[in-house]
Amino acid sequence: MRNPNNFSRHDYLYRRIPDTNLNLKDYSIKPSAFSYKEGESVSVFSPLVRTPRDVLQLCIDEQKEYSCSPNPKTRLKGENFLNKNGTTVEQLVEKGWRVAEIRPVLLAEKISRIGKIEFSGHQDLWAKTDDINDFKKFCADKATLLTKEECLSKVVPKEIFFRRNFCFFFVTLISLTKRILGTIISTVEKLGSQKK
Amino acid sequence: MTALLENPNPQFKNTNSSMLEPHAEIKNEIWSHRSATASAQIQNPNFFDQIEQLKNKLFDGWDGEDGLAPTQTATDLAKQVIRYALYLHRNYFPSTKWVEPDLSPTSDGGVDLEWEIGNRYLLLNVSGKGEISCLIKNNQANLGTGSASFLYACIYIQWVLAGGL
Repeated sequence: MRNPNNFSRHDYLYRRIPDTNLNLKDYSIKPSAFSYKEGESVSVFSPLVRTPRDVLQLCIDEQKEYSCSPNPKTRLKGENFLNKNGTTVEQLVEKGWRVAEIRPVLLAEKISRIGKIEFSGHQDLWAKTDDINDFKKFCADKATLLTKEECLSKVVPKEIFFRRNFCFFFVTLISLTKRILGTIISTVEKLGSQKK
Repeated sequence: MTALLENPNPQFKNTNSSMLEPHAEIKNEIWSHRSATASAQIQNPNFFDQIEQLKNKLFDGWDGEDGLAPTQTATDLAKQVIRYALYLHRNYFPSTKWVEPDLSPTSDGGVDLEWEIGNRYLLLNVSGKGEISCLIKNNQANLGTGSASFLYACIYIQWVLAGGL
């Protein structure tokens, strides 16, 4: 198994691959794994923020949220997913789900732009050509499917660990500062009104 | 099943001039394999069962995103394409061996049918709205890509099957 600290995460993107888009005989990726709706983008995740396991975990977390939604359609969607694929990353991987690694530099001729990294690590990949089939086949040929072990690995590379904790620290700091400032301002206002 | 093969009842949709038309090279080769003298021995294809199973198994959001389950339009059209391709194969191209396509769903509610035989590759997509498009490759080189009519899609299937000769 490759040590996740031994390659540059700037060079890669992760794509979640459902079991139905894999050839389960030889674990090759089918072009349909990179299909997208007209005018939409392909969802990928940045290895700067997420590990392959996180990418699968995010999917489960999202479905769990859906299954608690007040909207019956969304709730059904979440429930169906969890009933079919399980509620843990282990179960998802057992069903055949995997994560593929793609190098944008190899896809340069087919990609028009890559979206910004969102807080969740999600990014949008926009195809250059309107010919979806050509794009799908190209991506499937260039992508590398990660092994079961790589998808399940709980090793969090140092960079991601620090970045995640830094983000957590930063967000907590901002919210605490807001609260403290709010308390100070309201106290000052109260004192001012008492003096008057 | 046999009745379906005997009477494919094709619907020739999407036949405008901007469609991807087979190269002369492909046409010539296809006709060279054409023979109406024999009827090929084809085992009952399980494609029809597979596509039904796929349609029943998948639901909206199957891919963990906003992927649509295969639509009735897409599965019906895919079945018609295979039915007519089988009819052509059985009656006109019996020297080639029938190979089932690799079937997989796409996020727009469509299905992909994929063949790779010898050096030949065909990706035939039936979109959720019922439009057909193809990607054709020979020796890794793109021979054509774009939307295709029902009939051309069936011809491409015969072409890719001839890759096994």
